[in-house]
Amino acid sequence: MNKFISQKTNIVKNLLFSMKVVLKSNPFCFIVGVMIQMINIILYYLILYFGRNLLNALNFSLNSQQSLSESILCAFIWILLIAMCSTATIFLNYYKNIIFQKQQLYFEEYINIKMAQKCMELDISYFDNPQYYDKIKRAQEGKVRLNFVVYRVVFFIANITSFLIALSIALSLSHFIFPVIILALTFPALLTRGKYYRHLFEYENSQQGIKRKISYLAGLILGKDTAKEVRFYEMEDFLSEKYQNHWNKYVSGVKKIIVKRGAIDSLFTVFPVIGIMFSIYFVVLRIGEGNANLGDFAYLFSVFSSLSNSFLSLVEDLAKMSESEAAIQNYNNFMETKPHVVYKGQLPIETIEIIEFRNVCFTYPETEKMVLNNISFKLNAKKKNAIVGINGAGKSTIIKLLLRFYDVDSGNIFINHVDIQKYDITKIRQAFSAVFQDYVIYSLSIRDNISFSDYFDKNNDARIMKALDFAEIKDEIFSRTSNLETFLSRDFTEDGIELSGGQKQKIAIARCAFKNAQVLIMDEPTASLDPEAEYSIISKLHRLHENRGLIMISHRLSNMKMMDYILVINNGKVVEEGSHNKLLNDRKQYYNMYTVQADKYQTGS
Amino acid sequence: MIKNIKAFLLNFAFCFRLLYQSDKKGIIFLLLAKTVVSIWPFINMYIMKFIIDKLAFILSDTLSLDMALKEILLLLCIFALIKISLEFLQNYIMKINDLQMQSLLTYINLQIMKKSLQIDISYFDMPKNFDELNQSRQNAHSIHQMLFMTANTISSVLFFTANIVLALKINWQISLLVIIVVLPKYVFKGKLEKKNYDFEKSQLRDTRFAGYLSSLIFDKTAAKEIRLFHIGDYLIDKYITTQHKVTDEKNKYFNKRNLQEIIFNIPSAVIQILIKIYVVYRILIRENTIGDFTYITGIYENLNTSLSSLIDSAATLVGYNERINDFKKYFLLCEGTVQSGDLAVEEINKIEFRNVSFGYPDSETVLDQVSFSVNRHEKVMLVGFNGSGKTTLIKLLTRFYEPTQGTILINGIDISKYNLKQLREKIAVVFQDFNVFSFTIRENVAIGDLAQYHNETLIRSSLRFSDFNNDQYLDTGDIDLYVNRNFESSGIELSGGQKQKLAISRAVIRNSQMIILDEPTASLDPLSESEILDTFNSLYKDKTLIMVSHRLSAAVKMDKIIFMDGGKISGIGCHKDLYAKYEIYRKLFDLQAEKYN
Repeated sequence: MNKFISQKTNIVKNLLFSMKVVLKSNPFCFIVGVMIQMINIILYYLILYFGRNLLNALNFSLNSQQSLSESILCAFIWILLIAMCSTATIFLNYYKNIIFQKQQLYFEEYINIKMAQKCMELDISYFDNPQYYDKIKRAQEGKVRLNFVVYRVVFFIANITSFLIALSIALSLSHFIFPVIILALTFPALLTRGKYYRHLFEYENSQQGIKRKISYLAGLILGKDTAKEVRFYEMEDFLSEKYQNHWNKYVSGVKKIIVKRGAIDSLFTVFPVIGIMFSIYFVVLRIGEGNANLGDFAYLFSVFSSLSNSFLSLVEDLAKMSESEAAIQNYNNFMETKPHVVYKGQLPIETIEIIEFRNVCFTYPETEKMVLNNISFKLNAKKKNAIVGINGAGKSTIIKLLLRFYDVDSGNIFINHVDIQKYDITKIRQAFSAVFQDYVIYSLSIRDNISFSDYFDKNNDARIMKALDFAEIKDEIFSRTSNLETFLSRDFTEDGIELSGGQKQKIAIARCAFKNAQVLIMDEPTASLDPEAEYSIISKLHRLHENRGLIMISHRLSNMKMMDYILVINNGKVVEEGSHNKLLNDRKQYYNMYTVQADKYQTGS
Repeated sequence: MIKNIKAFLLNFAFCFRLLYQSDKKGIIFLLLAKTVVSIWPFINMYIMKFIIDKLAFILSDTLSLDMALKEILLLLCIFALIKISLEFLQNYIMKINDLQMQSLLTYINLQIMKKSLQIDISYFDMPKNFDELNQSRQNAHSIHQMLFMTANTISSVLFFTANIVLALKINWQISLLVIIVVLPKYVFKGKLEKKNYDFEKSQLRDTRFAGYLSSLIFDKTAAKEIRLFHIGDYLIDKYITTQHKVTDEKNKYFNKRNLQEIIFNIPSAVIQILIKIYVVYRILIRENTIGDFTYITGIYENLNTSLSSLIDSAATLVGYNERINDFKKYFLLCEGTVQSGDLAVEEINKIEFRNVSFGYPDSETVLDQVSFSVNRHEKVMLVGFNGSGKTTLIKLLTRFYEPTQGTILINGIDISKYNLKQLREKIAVVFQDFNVFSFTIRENVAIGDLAQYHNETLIRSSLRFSDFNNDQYLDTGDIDLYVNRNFESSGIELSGGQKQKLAISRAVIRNSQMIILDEPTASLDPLSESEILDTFNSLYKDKTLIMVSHRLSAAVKMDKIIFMDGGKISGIGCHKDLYAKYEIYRKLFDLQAEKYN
């Protein structure tokens, strides 16, 4: 029973929440929609009522000595009323369709924006951590459901109206025992139906994982990014078999419920029929006795049926409201998440002089491996610094902490000897520009792609040109287009430019260079560049204005010679640090890595 | 008109065949059940007519009360019995129907996916095609609707036939009138569907763009840049502008088309009123009984609605013609430009590019008169500037595109003469933009050769080849772990370098004669890179290796270097020769080498 109550309170809570969202998105459409739905119900009963009167009038005319024209006139009035009501229903239904279509549009737009805004508040950790990312994805799936629930509410309100009208007519025109009998006989169906839907929805909710797998598989098959591999490795059978298996597993469960529970449910729907027949027979008797009129027969017959149907639908609506419970919960959870990184700092920052990590430990949320293990180092932010080390050593993590995508578990990061958390986070980020290892080329214009790093100055063509030139891609771009508005992909425009892997990296470098930041951070910026471009870009980085610093992660140790200071990271610790020459003389890990690369060139020249 | 009927029949047949193929037994069951259920309204009306007549007799004292009541009771009992059985049947059928439609959905989705795998990669290169692809997916949705409609059409035909027989018996002139008045709707509906479709098409790109923008905000990779550079608001604004445009257009369209739909319903509504008055008149002059009122007006109303819904589905089927044709076009699309021959591939002894030129569809030339050959066992390296056509060359060799000019020969025979499937089986590739799938490690590797799915030893040795995820893991670690945590919380997360190693393992397990690597070591640290390249050189002595790389140190040990510049081969030969004779190559090599001095 407690479970039952908590379940119902949950439904109500979700309902109110959904209502709030829907009302905020567009109250007009929603309210008008509800009103039309209610008016339609009233019109339905009016038509029944006028039909009853028509039959009564006809019967009266047949059994009295009224003149034909008088009788026709009398009947005509009722027919006219019926016609008016049904025409009104047609109009209202059309209007309702539009209103609900519009409501849907406004709702989608509203909720997408709301979610996007929420998403912007969240830390990177939400994206790095699969469980959090899952939360985002689930919320996106859940958002549609909010509107479903609200539609259910509209139907529910309509059904209550219908139920109350039918009940009051039945009570006024027949003995109260008949509605009671009908409702009593409907009751078992009520229970089985509720149970049926609960089973169905519980099952559906338990199958969310499989459903996500199914859509992932479909995406693999239909997607652009996976097109080459899926075709080359002939993954068709492998993938479609997987798809089919998941689906069969899911459907067999639904089937079980429908075949068994559905049969029981259908069986119980026949009981109300008995009640209606029983009650209507007494109406017949009353007519026979002269206590009721002919029209009452068809009238009450419809009213009794509606009474039972609307009663049953009430439960169905309630059950279907709980259908979306999990989905709404997912959405709700997402909207209530708070960022981990505390944005409390207020301190402004002018120039970044010294960056210091002191005993910093860091483990990604909900993982076990300690990525940074008590690491300490100092960098002069105005010099050219490098971080090297084997794959997975923790190099990129240092950058993520420095840009405050995460906060440290223990230890401190200092900028100019003040803890980084005391600074205004936006000011800190303004001081840096970066090329991340997994940069993005946006399916937007060249201008957007370059100026994103400082888009308040997006209309400064000269600066964009300078950035393109810096990344050695100006000539390549302008041999193909003369317009900065050209898109960097052909996903959306016919005249877009498709770039090769190396060219994409150059765009990312140009974006980083566009921003006049004090410190540039570059995570493997030259991995896909040809030797000439790599050489020239690295040289330019080195010649950067005296006051602009650089922190570069690279596996190409040849680039290290021009660096002022090098950190060698292994297993989350600094194992060596110093200038290139010093590290070579030390003959440790750095020396080994360097010689592995260098030897290969010695034999060739 | 005849064209329309033909279109209707063709589309109907197409949809029905799909329905039938997806679930033969189910469809027959469904049709039978629907037929049975569609009889119900007539029985209902007929029994009601009798009861009301009996009641009228009672009231006019032409029938004894006892007799009449007994008869009514009997009628009610029959009524209840039929209703109970039909109610059960209908209720149950609807549930089963839902289930069937779900399986139908899967069936069709699967067909679409299978079909789409036969479409060339080049299809993805054009925005127009992208729109089409999206449209096709949406059309697939309309196909689902169509199938519902096809099933409904069949039952509306049955329902309509029963109605028309009864209606004609009552009064053929009125029946005719009812039918004629509904017909104009047909023309209107057909046009409306076409308009709807055109409208939908016109919005495709904006809709897709809005979707892209909002997905960017939730994108894992873009998250860092968006935060560092504060471009979230900019993207959201852009999304709002694009989405507003779509919404506004839609709203305008809804408003415009709506009123017309109502107008076409008015004649029928008027006719129904007239029929009611006529029947009332007939009752009053005692040509009909009072019970006939509900019966006759009911039949005419049903005649109207059944014909109307029949017309709706027919007009929609015709109006959907374009939609279905587009879908068919996609659905039945053959393999496009890349043709598979039937020549069997035994061994690849020699590959030759002879004057091969290529440009992506509607785009400038990427490869210009490229000629070279690779012999068996040779180790070849493709080097050159960014955007010089190296990756494109590999896409041609793996037959994702057909050259626009010139020929590619294998063992002296045109590559297009060979069986595509067999040819690809002889080659292993690591693409530059390889994917790591959200499956297990085992699956990710075995994709390279699914026959080896259960061969754990081989999978482990392939992983060891690329030094995947540390040695200790390879001997005892669970290869059935997922490679990310998208679906399983026990999954492991891989770094960029580890992903690249996994992709190499996938190619290695294929144990093919030829292996193609497109920048396989870009994200690897120096030690891993050197190890993997050494392993390739020592273990692949008898195999052909083609590698794209910017690390010219790897070129020293290669048999042949192909240097590309602006879509042309500007230098070819072994490292020594090129270094001696070709200035640009020497310059680039020294550029990298010098830095190590």
